[in-house]
Formats: sequence, structure tokens, C-alpha cells
Amino acid sequence: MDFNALFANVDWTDIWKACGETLYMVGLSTLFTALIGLPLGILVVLTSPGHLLQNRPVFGLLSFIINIFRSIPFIILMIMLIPLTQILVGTSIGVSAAIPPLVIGSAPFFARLVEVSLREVDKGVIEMAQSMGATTWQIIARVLLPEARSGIIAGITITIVALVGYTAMAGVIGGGGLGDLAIRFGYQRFQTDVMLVTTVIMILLVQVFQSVGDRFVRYFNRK
Amino acid sequence: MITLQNVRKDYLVDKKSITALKKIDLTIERGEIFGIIGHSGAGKSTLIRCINLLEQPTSGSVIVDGKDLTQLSQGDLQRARHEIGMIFQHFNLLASATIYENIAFPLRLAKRPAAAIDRKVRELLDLVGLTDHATKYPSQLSGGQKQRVGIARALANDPKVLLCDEATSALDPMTTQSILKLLADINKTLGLTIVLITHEMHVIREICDRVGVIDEGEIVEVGPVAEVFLKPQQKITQEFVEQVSDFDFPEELLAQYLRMPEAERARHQVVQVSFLGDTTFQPVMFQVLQEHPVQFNILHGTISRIKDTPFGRLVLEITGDPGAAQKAVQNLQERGLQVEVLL
Repeated sequence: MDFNALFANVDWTDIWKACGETLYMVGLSTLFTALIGLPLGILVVLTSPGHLLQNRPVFGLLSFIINIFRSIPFIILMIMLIPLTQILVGTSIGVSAAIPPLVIGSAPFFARLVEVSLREVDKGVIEMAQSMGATTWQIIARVLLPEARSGIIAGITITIVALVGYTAMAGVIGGGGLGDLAIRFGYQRFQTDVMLVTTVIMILLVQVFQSVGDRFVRYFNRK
Repeated sequence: MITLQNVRKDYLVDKKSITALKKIDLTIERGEIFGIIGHSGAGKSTLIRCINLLEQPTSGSVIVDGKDLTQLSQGDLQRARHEIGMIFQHFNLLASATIYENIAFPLRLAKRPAAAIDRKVRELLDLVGLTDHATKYPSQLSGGQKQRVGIARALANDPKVLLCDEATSALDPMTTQSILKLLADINKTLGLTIVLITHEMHVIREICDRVGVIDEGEIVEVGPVAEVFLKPQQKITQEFVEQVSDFDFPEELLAQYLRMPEAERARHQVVQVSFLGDTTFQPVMFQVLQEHPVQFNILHGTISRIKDTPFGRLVLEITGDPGAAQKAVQNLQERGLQVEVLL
């Protein structure tokens, strides 16, 4: 039995196209997730009790919003957000239409990871910066972020890997991607070979993202 | 240089108010090394944090170099803090930055020009003897080296005041000595006013000019270190002084005098003599001995140092006619020695 017969149902053009779609969705949504999640995480930490800008109402509200979005299953969230997607992207189907729900689904998750790594920053170092006359802005830019750098990078890596998983559900709104291929051909049409190939590619993707992320974390970790 | 007036600090813990500082009135002179000693929980940490307003006093005023910090706006306070350096028990270095960058940190906060930053950092690296370690990270240094980085960083903005928060408590005895020496040196060469808090009396003895003893949120005793060492007024001060006392007089020595027959006892007197400063090296005892028909026998004694002042204590047995012995004691006192009759 030759190679082609073994993968009779696999259309490699489709596979590479799906691969591109997945990378596109993961890439763009990671970018926006970081842009929203990072400030959100910083704000949650700063407004928390005993911190620089402690503010119970703001902290409570932010925390509540994050919890809401984190508790809605992604597939439901995607459908709930269709009207918003329509406004933001101009369409509610296709690869680009998958981006808003991906971002809104993962930004709160990433914000929590940012929060955790910022909380790891030694209180004494923050006190030191205050004693030297640092403004709140300088403490964020010159103390909190650099000190939490490796934790935040680890958080981005985890988020990327989670996003690879989320994109598998984007098929529901015509988002395409490897996961969509696996569901439509591999699962619904019993094409085990397609299932196998797409799954292996996704495993490889996750491996690559994770090891690159780990490398960065190691590089930036000075502890 | 620093004046605390009526400073009070209350904390709200579980909706109950806890008083950390009751009513602190304290003046610290320009150029001196002022030590504050107290047990943990006495309020010394809160007190030193009130000086740069890391802790906002509940009431009272904190005047540093003529400015009442409690009255300043946030921005003015941040600028005023550039003039007040601080070092910490756990160093509080940026783990993600090199030694060079750690020292440059306050200069970058103050937005100094790059060339000035570089010049200053190199000068400070040299001052604390870490030039070879500029590109290392804090995790690669020993505790003593980390504290040196802390000191260099605290000096970066040429502050007028240096606050030391248990700066040597996490260091071993030898490293402690070298850090204390460095602090004493910069106090002398830069004329910097240093305020330090500690729970170790030997730190006070080593470098402080004056000391304040804090207990349960109150300063219970203040004075020049030598004076406080010689004549501690409060019980807590006595306990601290005993911490470092190498003067461990065996009480049983006195017992043998008590067993003597009355007539014999009258001819023996036991006194404790304390010397301070120059008298330590003068032949005071010999001179007194020549002028009075008595004999001295040294039972016990030590000579040590309080900062730069030599300080000695002897227990003497004075043998001779009671009248002559009394005169000899008087003469010793007239020569500036402190004499306490033990028996």
C-alpha cells in the first residue's frame, strides 16, 4: 500500500489552506488578546486592595466581567457575539469573523494570567521604587512589567495554545482552519486519515509554540 | 535635618484600629548617624517609613530638610523623595535588571541625561567596589554585594538623607561589619545624614552617634550612644545594652568579701569604674594610687569601643583605710571616671 492510498481522502491543498487559516486566526487574536488582556490584568492588580491604585468598586467590576466571560463556553460565546462581530468586522461568517469572539474569549483568560504574574512581583521592590520617587506609571513600566516579564511570556504561550484549541470551533461560523477540517471531514464523513493529518499538524503547532515560548521564558528569567 | 512632630500612626486591621506609633517627637541632626533600636513590633519599621512617607502618618508632621512632607502634593513628594535614599533588609533589587541598571534605576526615574547617568553609575560602582560585576544580575551576587548595590542605588541621586531599614539583619557578621564600615565611610565623606533601624545593639555601638530606643510605639530614651551605653535609664535599654556587653562580671566574686570578718571587710571596697574616651588611655589609676595610701587590685575588666570612642570598665578591689579609700574614689570621679560602689 503506497502513501497516497493510505491518505486517499487527504486533499493537501485544503490542508495547507486550513493551516494558513488557523495561523491567521491564532496570530491576529493573540495580538488583540495581548493588547486587551495586558492592560486589563495590570488594572486588576493595581486596583486590588492594598495596591497602588486600590479601588474596590473598579476592582470588583473588572473581576466580575472577567469571570463572566471566563465562564461562558466558547462555542456559546461565539454565537452570542454574532451581532458584535457584525459591527466590528462587517460580517458574521468567515475567518475574520472568528477573531472578535476568539479575542473576547481569551483576553479575560490572559488577563488572569497577567494578574498572577504581576502579583508575584516582590512587594518590597515596588516599595523601593516608591521610596525613590517613582510615579505609578514608572512603577508599571520600569518595575512591574520587567519583573513579571517571564511570567507574562509564559502566559502568552499558554494563551496561544488555548487559542489553537478555540479555533477548532470557529468552523461553526465558517471560520475554517484545521479544527474545522477535522470536524467536517474527519468526524462527520468518517475520513480517519483527514482526522489524523489535521490532528498531527495541530499537535506539531502546539509543540512549536510551546517550545519557542519556553525558550523566551528561560532567556528572560533572571531569578 | 529631620524633625518628627507629634507623629501618630494607626492601622485599621479587621476594622479595629491598632496604634503603631503613639506620639513621636524626634529631631535628627544634619550629618549624624542616628540609630533607632527596638524589638520587632515596637514600631521602628513604621517609624522609618514615616520619614519618607511610605507610611502616611495619621497625624503629625514630618519635616525633612525644611520641607513638611505631609503637606506636599503627590508630585512634589515624589521629587522630595529623590533627596531621601533608602536601603532595605532584603535589598529589593530588580531581579530582571543588571547591577548597572539597578544603580541607574533612580537616575532614570529622575529622567537624567544618558551621559550623566553613565558617569554617575560608574562612579558609584567604584565607590561600593562592584565595578567588575556591572553586567551581572542580582541572583549572581552574595548578600553583602547585593546590599552594596542597594547602597549605590540609594546614593545615585545624591540624597541628603539615607534611611536604612534593617540593612544588615539578613547578613552574616563579617559582611555586616563591611557594610557598616561602608555606611560610616559615606557618612564621613559625603556628610550624609543616616537614619537606621535595627534590633541589634552592636550595630548601634558600631556606627551610631545617637540612639533612640523605641518600645510599643514610643521613643522611651534618646541620647548619645556612649551615654546610653553607660547609663541606660529604661529597663528595655538595659536589656539592649546587655546584648552586646562583653562585661560579664561574676557575682560570686563579691561573695567572698561578704564572708570576711567585719574588721577585715572595712578595709576592702569593691567598685566598678567606667572610662570613656581619652581617659581610657591615661594612667589615671596610677596617678590616684600615688596620691592616696591605698592599693588597687583588678578583679575583672574589659576595654571596647563605642563607634570611635574607646570605652573601658573595670571592677577594682580597693584595699586600705576606709577614709583613704573614699578619697581615692572621689579623686577617680574628679578625673572624669564613673565610679559605682558595689560593696
